[in-house]
Amino acid sequence: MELRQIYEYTVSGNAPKVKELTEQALAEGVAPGEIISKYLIPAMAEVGDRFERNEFYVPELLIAARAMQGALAILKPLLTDTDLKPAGKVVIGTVKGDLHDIGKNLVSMMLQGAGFEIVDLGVDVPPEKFVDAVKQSKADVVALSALLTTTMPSMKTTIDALQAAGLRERVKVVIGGAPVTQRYADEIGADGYAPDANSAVRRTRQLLGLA
Amino acid sequence: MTPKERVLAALNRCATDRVPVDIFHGGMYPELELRLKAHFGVLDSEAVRLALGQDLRWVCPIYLSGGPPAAEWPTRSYFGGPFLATYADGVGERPLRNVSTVAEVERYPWPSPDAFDYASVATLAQTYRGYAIVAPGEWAPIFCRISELCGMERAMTMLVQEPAIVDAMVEHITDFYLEYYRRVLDAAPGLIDIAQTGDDLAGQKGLLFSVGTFRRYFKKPLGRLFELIKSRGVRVMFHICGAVQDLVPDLIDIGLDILMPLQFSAVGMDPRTLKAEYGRHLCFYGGIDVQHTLPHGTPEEVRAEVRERIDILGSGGGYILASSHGLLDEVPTANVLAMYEEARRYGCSHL
Repeated sequence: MELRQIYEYTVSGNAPKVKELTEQALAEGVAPGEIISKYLIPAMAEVGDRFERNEFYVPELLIAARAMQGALAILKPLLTDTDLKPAGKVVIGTVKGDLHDIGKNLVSMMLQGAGFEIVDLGVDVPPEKFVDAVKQSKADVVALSALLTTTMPSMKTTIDALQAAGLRERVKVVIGGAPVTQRYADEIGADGYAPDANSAVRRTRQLLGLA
Repeated sequence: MTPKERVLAALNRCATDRVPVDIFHGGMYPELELRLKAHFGVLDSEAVRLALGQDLRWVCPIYLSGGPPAAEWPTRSYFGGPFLATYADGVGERPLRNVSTVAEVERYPWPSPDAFDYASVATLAQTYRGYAIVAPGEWAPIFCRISELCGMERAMTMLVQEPAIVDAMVEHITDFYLEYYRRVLDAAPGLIDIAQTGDDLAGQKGLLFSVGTFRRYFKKPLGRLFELIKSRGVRVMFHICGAVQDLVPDLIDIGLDILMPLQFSAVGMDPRTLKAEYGRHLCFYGGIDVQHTLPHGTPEEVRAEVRERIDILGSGGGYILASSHGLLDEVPTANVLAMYEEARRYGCSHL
């Protein structure tokens, strides 16, 4: 089989094809880590680039991510520790008081597509839940989302809670969402700000020294 | 000039005594309104409107309920989804989340235009004689309703993967709105100046989906709605926030008169460019930033933004000043007062 088709069908968001080809590749003895690192991750990087160039929009990004997730569901249980290390671990959630999840989900999918392991805490997440998740998962990054001007202050409360728990030095904090700006990130002591899903991946990689 | 004369003159790009002003979508959040009532020492909402100098009045038919499904506003709209949680997929029940056939769309209990009292439109419009009347002051979205009923992620992927289901939903939603708008417009002939509709089709960095997707699903249905409104001699105001500049030519093409709410913090939404490129075809509504200046700025910063908007957008008419979205409770009273005072003061001499 032509392994590159896994890349192409992921970019075009053809989930059934990606699943079928992934199973076929495994049957032919291709290592699970190789399928992820050589085809799925580059495919999602291409999707992110097209999104940035306004060639792809949210629907295309979503169906590509679904195709990738279908393959990951097969491949992840087969990975051994030596096979493929995640790029890093990210605890992500929409902050307390805010129920909006679309933006957070897009960031989560794109980070996953870039090889990160994601701990998604969902929406309306209180600061202490972020603290517990960082402790338990030993995450490298905390990603906070807020869509409302009224819930932005929960980002600061969360950063303060990480500080109080003595975890602030261990994790990088990236923030994003409609009313959020670089200026606000600076004001509340976040490490990074990203205006969309693709730049969130770029910013996270930069903060971890991966790019 | 009466408020109505002022608004109509501005929309005709004629001289006005001052820039017309509105309270975004006709009303503000309850706690802020209470603070303004206390500030002005008045008891009712109309007195607040008078004190701020609002030139428009927003009128909708009264919802009678009874039409399926039951509306438990705001957690459940008369379309049957969790309206206020449209963009929070994890919240509420999405009655069509698992829809997989057109037949299921056909079987869905779509709302009926019979569930409203349209006679109230004429009564209210007459009560507000002398003001420019927006009726229906309705958020009548098509894509947003699909998101409400299916969840936004599902709605997005359906656009690519399940066009027949999207088409069927678009048809039902459009049919409902066409009849609803027709009845509103015919309930108060000659009394309505502007009919509002809208949708959410963009984020802050660009459109949610391509212009091609817009044309494929939404342009024609919207065009039918615009055509109906204009056939009654009423202007069309379309609410669309975010980075929408790529859609503006298509919206003008189907007859858009007034673009609202002008979110200038979004990518590519530059007031000078919009006014220069489209000012001959379009009037503008909104523009005072609810994400930054109004909630977080000082009254002086609000005043400066008001002056800048009037200089650019008010030049030659064609502008109604309002906030760029709903006035939430968190906006300081002083900033609301500064916005309207400055519009009335500066807007007199700089048009």
